[in-house]
Formats: sequence, structure tokens, C-alpha cells
Amino acid sequence: MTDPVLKVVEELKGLGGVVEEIKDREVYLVVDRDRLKSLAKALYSAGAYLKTCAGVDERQVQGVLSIYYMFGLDELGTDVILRVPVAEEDAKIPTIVPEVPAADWCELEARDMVGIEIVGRPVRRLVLPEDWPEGVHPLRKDFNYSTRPPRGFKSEASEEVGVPLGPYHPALHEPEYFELYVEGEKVVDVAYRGFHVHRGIEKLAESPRFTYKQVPFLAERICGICGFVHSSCYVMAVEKAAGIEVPERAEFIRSIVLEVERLHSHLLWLGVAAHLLGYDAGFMHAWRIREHTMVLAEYLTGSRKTYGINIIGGVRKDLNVDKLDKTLKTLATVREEFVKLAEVVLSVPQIRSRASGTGVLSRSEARALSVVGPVARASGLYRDVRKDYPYFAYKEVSFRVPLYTEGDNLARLLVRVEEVLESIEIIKQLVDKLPGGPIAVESWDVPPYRRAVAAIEAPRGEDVHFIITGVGKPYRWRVRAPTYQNIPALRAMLRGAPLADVPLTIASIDPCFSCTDRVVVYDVRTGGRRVLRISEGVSPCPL
Amino acid sequence: MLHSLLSLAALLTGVFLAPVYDGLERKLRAFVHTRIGPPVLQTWYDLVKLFSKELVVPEGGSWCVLSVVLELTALVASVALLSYVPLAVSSGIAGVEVVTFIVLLTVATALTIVRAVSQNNVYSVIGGFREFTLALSSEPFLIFSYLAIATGGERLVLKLSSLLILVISAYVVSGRIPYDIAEAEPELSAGVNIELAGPILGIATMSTALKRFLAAKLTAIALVLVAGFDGYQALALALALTPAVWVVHALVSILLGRTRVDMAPRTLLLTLFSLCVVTITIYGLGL
Repeated sequence: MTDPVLKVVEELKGLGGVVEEIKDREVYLVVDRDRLKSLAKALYSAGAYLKTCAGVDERQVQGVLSIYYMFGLDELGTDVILRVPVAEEDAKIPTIVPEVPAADWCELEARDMVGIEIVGRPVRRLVLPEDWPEGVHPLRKDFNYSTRPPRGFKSEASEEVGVPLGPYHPALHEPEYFELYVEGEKVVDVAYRGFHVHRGIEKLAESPRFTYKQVPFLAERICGICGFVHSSCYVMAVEKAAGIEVPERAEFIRSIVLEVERLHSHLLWLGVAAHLLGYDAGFMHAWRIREHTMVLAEYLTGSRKTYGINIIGGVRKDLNVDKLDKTLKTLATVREEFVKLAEVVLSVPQIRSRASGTGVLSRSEARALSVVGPVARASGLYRDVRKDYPYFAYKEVSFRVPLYTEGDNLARLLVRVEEVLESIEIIKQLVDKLPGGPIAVESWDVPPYRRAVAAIEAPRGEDVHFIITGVGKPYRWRVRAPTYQNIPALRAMLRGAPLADVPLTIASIDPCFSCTDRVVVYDVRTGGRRVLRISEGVSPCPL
Repeated sequence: MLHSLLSLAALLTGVFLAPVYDGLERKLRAFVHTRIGPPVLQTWYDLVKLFSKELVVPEGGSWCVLSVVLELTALVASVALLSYVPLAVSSGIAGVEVVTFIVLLTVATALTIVRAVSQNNVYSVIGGFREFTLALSSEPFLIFSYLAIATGGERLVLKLSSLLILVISAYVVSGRIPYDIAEAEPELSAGVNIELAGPILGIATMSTALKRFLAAKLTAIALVLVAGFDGYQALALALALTPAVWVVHALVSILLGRTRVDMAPRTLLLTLFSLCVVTITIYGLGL
């Protein structure tokens, strides 16, 4: 633990924090709820970002309900985790949103899923649907995964009145639901409702049917694009909690596959962005080049997607000389073709003009909302987990983190374009330095009630997995995908934008939802409202 | 009599060829995308299938059906009339045909807007307004340049300047990217066409193909007239040149992205208005 970190810890102790545990890059403090605000404020002032918070039902082990607030001191490469325990009969915790705006969603999620009331702020349901019964909290340990509480269907369709101005279709075939408040074609405010296809994966991992060994394969199914990030982050969290030393070769293989995944994800995104701007030639060629990376992934792992090679303590598939040669050849092809494509795409006048100066997110807003990944880097925040908290083999390679200050759609596009080239260079270095040795530990053991926070730089930004170990399976597993952190920034990006720029701006955070679009458009001049497509009783909420 | 027969032939060729050229465009787009693409006759297959579907009248009812049918009628008549122009120019009576053609084309656009705004669908209404904005930014210039070319006589500089205006405004009228903002799939989910299905969508699809045929043929006619051809020679050349112009239109649309609703009229008005000022100056100078 370095001196600057100890200095921060001392300050927190002075404000009432009690150190529970200090690990290499993690400090755990238990905090009385009355002192939470001052500690959160002190951490935020010290430059920390709120990674996320997690409600945990710890009644079986500590007799309390808790919220863990995970702050990252990026410049010091250390996580500071505040645990705020409360008794079940008085499960109330004051909000820290005024001090740390990024806590908005995770506080509401803890309220929904664990039943801890958040005091001092407007509350609404975030994850649970409106017709979910009161007092039933799925992440409490006495709630069985298979339980399906009775629910009453509500429809808003009969409420439509007035004449709308300015329709909007998000253009992304995933279950996001945006309400755009418009004047003519100008957006004046935005509300969002998500979590329509919440699968309860965290709860599922705690159920008896899963063990530590099986969860990597479940984690990989969180996302169809960056699934390997999730399985890697999960195994990293377990390995950190249990103190498992992973063979160096396995760390290199994981890093190589993570970068291959980044390549395909960024190429996919570039294609989608081109399509949204009507430049389908760019879309098709981006996906054609992406195909090389998919074939490469299949060659390296056996699968085009959902690779399934991560296990606790290492990986399941080794790389031989042929695979490494093929990797380098494929990368040469991808690089050559991508450079040409990027040059063409960026020279299309409509793409330049429509991406420049639109969807702007200022540095201060990005900081307040703790955005991550290319969204943060395009707004001038130097945040990259690979540099800030080096993991796997990233400490062995040198690369540049693209940084722009404009904060607009073009900046986010340029960040991703440059990251593709950086990823290619990273893989080449990893292939060159790949050490020999085993690819997995022979045996491992996970002691119960150990905690760890793991973070991996996904294509969309920092992916965070927090784990409390249990017996044979996780006691609590919290997943915070990067989109969770970036969606709240859309409100700042979209206000004042023309409707025509909304699809690109939403796409510019590379959001990851699932498969239904629902939109309501309000005319703020007349108060008129029309529900365009809405299904079951969900009420939208301000971002 | 001969003119009427030629007109009928042009009409039949136009109606048959427009979807074929559209199929060619799809094939060309696929080639640039490195895809195989659909067969050249795919647009015809689509039309046959759409016309075999049950008739579904969208909300907005008879207004929609009436306007979509009238729009097609106006476009078909425009195609027939267009073949008169080279002949009329050579016989010195271009005015009536040209004006009638312009009226029919404008009516077709107006009917698209009527059809779109009569729908009980906000995407369609916005698409209608976008179509209106585009029409205002391009069709007056198309009319201006078309009249100047048809009646310009031997004044080559004037005709060349007008040709430039016509080439740009005819492309905008064809409704391709970057000026497909009335449909703009990712923004408006097909906009003006969102509520259409079955035979009505078939009619609208045919109208789009005919409009593109008109835009291509109009450009082809203007080119041959400016090049100094007239009469039957001009007619034959224009017919031969139409697919080439269509291909150029297609290539431009493949290589560009979609403009934004507020950028399109601003850019168009600025460009076309400036060119008009130049053309009028040329006219005033007697060039």
C-alpha cells in the first residue's frame, strides 16, 4: 500500500471510517450510515470515481443488510470500498447522490433488489417492474430464485392524449425505452426506462444449481458481444478473493482474447454508426473486416463468440505456434483494411458534419457521472483500467490511451478508431512475449466470506465484478457493466439536440441492452403526449 | 399520331424499366458492399408479391388510398409526357409540355405529403413535413433549370449553367441518400411509408421507382439537349442515356451518408440559389 493511499485511508479514518481489511489494491472500511456522506464527499474530493454500489443481504453472516460503495482511486490504482451495514428492522441509508451523482442508479437498485430504503432523495423503481409486489426483494437470501410472485399487468396505452411533435425511434434493436420531451424536432429533456429483460443472473449464480466452476460460463452469457470480458472479470474477482496465482501464460492468453474481442466489438460499432448515418457501404465493410476477427477468435478458442475458455485459475485452451502465426497474419490484414476503411468513413462529409459538435458531454459532467470507456476518454478523462489497475498481461505491454476533449460523437468515434489500432499493437506484443508454462493451476480452493473487486476494460468501458465468496458458490456476485454507468450521461448529451441526432448519440455510448424498442414523445409546448410503443406497466424515470 | 405512339412506347418502357433499373441499383450497391445482392428483377418480384397481398387500408383511410393512386397516375403521366420534350423543343412548342410535366411532378410530390400527413402516425407526419421541406428546397430550381434548358435555344453557357442546377435538383427529387430524410429508416422507421402495406405499399414502391426514372430521364434529356441534339435523335439518345444516369445516381447515393433535416434545406438553398443567380446573370448578359 503506497503512502498516498495510506494518507487517504487516514483521512477516512478521521471521518469515522473503520478499516476492516487492507489488501494489495483494495481497502475495505466499515462506515456508520450517519458518517457515509462525509466519507463519500472526502473520497470524491480526493479524485475517486464511484465504480458502483451493491446491496448485500448479509444477515446470514453478519446479521445485517449492507451497501458496499466501491470507489476507485484511478491515479493510485486502488479501490476503496465503504461498507454501510444497517439492521433489517431499520434498513435505511442516506443518499450520497448530492455528493456523488453517479450513485443514482446503484442506490435505487439496492433499494429494489435488497430492500434498503434510500433516504433524502426521490425514489422510484429502477430494476423491478411497477407491478412487482411491494416488500419482495429478489436478492434477499430468503427469496428463492425459482419464485415467481403474482403480478398484475398494467397498460399505459389508454392514457394517450394530445398531438405529439417529433417521433423518435432509437434504431437499436434492444429493450431501451426513451421518452424524449421535444419542442418541434429539438429535444429538451430525456427520460429512460430499462431493465425490461433483467435475467436475475446474479441471483442465479447464488442458487444451488451453480458452483464457482460453472459461473464463468454463465458470466460469459451476460453479453453477446463482450461476454469474455465478463467471464474474465468474474474469474479475476474469485482469484483475487481466494488468492489464486494464475500462471503467466494464462494471463497472456486471456489478454490476447480480450483484445480480439475489443477488435470485433469496435468494428461492429463502427458499422452500426455508419448505418445510422445512412452510409451503408461503411457498415458492410466494417462488418466484412470484423469477420476476420471472428474467424480468428474461432481459431484461437473454438468459438466465434462466447469463447468459453476461462476457468478459475487459468484457461482451457492453449495457443500453439500455428495459432500465433495465424493471429499475426490476420492482424496484418485487419490493420491494412481497417486503416483504409477509417480513412474513407471519416472523409464522408455527412459523417464528419453530423458527428462533429453533436451529443456533447463536457468533462465536468463526465466526471460527475463517472462515465467509463471511450465515452470518458472522448470527454477528456484519462480512464483506462488497463493502465490504472494493470491486470493480466497488460503490465507487460506498452500502448497509448486515445484521449480527446471535445466530448462529441466524433470524438467518441475517433477514440474507438484509434483503439482498434492500439489493440492490434497490443496483441502483437503479447504474441511476441508469450511465456511458456502451464495454462491453469492444478487445484484451488475458495475460502468463504472473502471479498474482492475486479475490473476489466471492456470495449465499452470499465466492467466491474464484486464478489463475496460463499461455500462452493458465490455468496454475493455483483456485476456492473459499463453501459450501466454510461446511460445516465445520455441526458446531458441529448438535451438541446435535434431528433435526427438522437440515434447516433445513443449509439455513441455503444449501449448494450437487449431486444425491444419503446418510445414516448412529449410535446412540452402543448403538454400533449402519445405512447408510440409501450408494453407492460413500466413507468419511465428521469435519467 | 406518331408522337402518341412514341409516348405510349416510352410510357410502357418506363413503367417496365424503372423497377429493373432499381434492381440494377441494388445489384450495384451489393457489389460495392462486397455482397452478392438480390437478382436484377427483385424489385419486380417484390411488387408482384405486394400486389398479391390483401388490401390493408391504413388509418387515414380513403385519403391515403386516393392520394397514393393519384400520385402513381401523375407520375405515369409524367413519364409519358417527358418523351414529348425533345420533340417539342425541336418543333419550337416546348412551353405547354414542359409546364404540364412540371405541374404533374409537383402534384405527385404534393400527394406524397398529403398521404403522409393524413396518417395517424407521428413518424409519417414528420416524414411528410420533411418531404415538404425538401420539395421546397429543390423543385422550384428543377422547374427553373428545366425551363431554361428547354427554351434556351442556342445559348450554350446559359444551358450549361442551368444543366448544373438541374442535375443537382433532379438528384434531390429522386429521394436518395443523402436526401432520403423523409423515410430515414433509423430515424423515422420508413417515415412517409410507415403505415403502408400490401398493394398500397406496392403502388408507393412503384411511384418511388418511377420518380427515380423521371429524375434520371430528365437529366438524360437535359444532357442531350444541351449537347445540341433534338427530335427523335434526342429521344433515342435520352432513352439510352437514362440507365447510365441512374447508375451515376446510385453510385452517389452509395458513397454518401444521410444529411440532417436542418442541414439539407440550408445546403440546397444556398447552393441552388447561388447557381440561379449566376444563371440569371448569364441570361442578362446574353451568353
